[in-house]
Amino acid sequence: MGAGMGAFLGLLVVAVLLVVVLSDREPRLTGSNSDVRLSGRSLEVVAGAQRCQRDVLPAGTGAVRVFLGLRGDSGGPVRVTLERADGTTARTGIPRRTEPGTVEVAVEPTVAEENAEARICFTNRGEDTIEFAGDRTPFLGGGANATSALLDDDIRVDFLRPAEETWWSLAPRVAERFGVAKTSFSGPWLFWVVLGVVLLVAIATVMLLSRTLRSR
Amino acid sequence: MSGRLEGSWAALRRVPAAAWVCAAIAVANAACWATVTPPYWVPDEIAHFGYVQHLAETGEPPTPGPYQPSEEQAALAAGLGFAVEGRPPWRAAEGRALRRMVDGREIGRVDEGQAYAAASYPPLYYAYEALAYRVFHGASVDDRLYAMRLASALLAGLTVLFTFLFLRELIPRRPWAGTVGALAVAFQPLLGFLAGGVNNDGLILACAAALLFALARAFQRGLNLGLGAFIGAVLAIGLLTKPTILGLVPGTALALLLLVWRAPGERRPAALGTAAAALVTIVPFLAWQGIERALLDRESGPTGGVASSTVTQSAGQLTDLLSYLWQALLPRLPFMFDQFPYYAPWEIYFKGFIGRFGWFEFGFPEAWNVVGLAIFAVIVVLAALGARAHAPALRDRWPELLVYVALAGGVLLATEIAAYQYHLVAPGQYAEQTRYLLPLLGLYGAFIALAALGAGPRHGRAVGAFLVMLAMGHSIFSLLLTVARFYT
Repeated sequence: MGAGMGAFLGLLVVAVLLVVVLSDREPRLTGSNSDVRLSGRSLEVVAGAQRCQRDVLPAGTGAVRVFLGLRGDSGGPVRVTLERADGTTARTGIPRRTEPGTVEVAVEPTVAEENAEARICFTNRGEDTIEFAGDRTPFLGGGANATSALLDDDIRVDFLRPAEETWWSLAPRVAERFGVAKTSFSGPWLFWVVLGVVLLVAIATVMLLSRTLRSR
Repeated sequence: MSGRLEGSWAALRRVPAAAWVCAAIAVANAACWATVTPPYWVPDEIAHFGYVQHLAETGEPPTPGPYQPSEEQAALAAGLGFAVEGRPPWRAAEGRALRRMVDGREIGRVDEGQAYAAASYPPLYYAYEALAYRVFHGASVDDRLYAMRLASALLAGLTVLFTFLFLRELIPRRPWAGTVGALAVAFQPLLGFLAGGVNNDGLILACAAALLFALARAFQRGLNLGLGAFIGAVLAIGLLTKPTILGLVPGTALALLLLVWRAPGERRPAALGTAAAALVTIVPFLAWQGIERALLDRESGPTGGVASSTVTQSAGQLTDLLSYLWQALLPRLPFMFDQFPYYAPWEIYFKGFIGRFGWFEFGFPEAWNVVGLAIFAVIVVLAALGARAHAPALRDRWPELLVYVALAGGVLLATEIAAYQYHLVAPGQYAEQTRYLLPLLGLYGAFIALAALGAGPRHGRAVGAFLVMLAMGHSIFSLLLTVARFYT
């Protein structure tokens, strides 16, 4: 087997994996209020009570995701309202649950415009206290929170696009986000430049290998 | 003087073109990392930036003490909404708010506590970065940080350049294998990630690669005054950068002893080289220590920890230390007290090498790590075949191989002893990180080259090319993982 064949097979493996991974359909975020991967704090909402918080409601949101814990055998249902500053409201609900965990519920209609001063309320319409994961306190005792400090959390809310999407369709949105907070001159173009450099590096590597591995 | 300059120029011209291309690939790769990773989301980057800022603004290194960022450091952190596990701003409005916080107004750039955990490090890396800072002194704080990251990316090129030259000395009859090993190092994601941030590990990695090259050259061609001085200079640069380099000192000392012992005939050049190495190592370091104490009223490494400046010297029981060291690197034996809540070689070192990024809080899914382990197992088998095929040559070079084992052992021991000291003062916390083993990247390159050779004369080049493509894919997926973490 020649060196060219080895490089070709390697490239083929990488290219096939890239296509598979980038074509994977998953729920994608429009935004999130979370600063943590695993929350170190839970916020309870007792039966019949309501908990509200201010959040940015990103454009394009068609679903929300929260992380729910139960005190008893079951919890909920929970009514979720998203009130925009102009007074219009979108509603959704979390049905009664017997298992804790991640909950994704659709929001209708899809949020057309970003609202920086939205008010999100969770009303526990069930008979047991329920808990929601917080958005700021990292997992207690973990690397990001070695001192187990408790912060002033809101309920963690991940805002999702209405349908599952591939990376291909999300790429323009990623480019926009990529350019927001890097340098004074960055913009979406920077993302495409990085992809271009990665491609050039790959070409240079293949050329170098083909020259070096052919010579004695 | 001009003769020496001409000599240096001639030496540079003798460096093969392939070495420069490998180095350029490493720089481009690290520059991609510098651009993809949001500001401050590299371990301790805020503190390292603070050190550079203090040095560049005042001409003096900061004094260790409680964390107190400069106004500008704090403004950037606030504008980014920086939290270790958080994300940078996505919305244009947040970007505009960030610009209002950091652009076009005079805000404080100096505070004595701005370098926090980095303050006790020696100043050489920061002096290098201060050049980039000063060149862009009038630019915004995030632009200066980006310039510093790109300056750091150049060090990845230096690391790979020296790795290439090390492998050429190690495997002189098969230069293609050196290219394969150097490219594997150039695409190692942790190298790109670290060198793409402001972090003094970048210069340490370049020093370690240069040291490996110099030692291999000395074993191939004999130690002389020039090479000894080069070894000393590399160690001195390392000592003036971060005490991590201390892990390489015992192996280097062993190398010098062996080089003098086995010098053919006249031992004077080798002895002179050893003396030069010792002098050039110690004199600049002692001079800096004197300046610090006499003029700056501060103390820096290597009195601090090898791995992290937050590590302080602390005594533990010897048996406890030995048990800790064993469990950090090998499976726990039944009679040992359980020191780790996980199997450290897998959880920390292997998974870390496959890739943990940001403040080391995200990495590949478990299945990818398992696939990585399977590939690694195949590479180990190939490398073993390579070692068997070249057994006579390896036997002849046993002193050199012994030195590489000593260098690796020194780095491992130094890292683990520092981690143990940290563990004593912070029970339940573990300071081990894969990056502390990256001074051994040159040996990793040799391992990959040996695996390619292990496929035999017929298939070796093809396997080498295949491994490089896999390494490149590994790098691309690591970048995508980082894009996914911060922007999706």
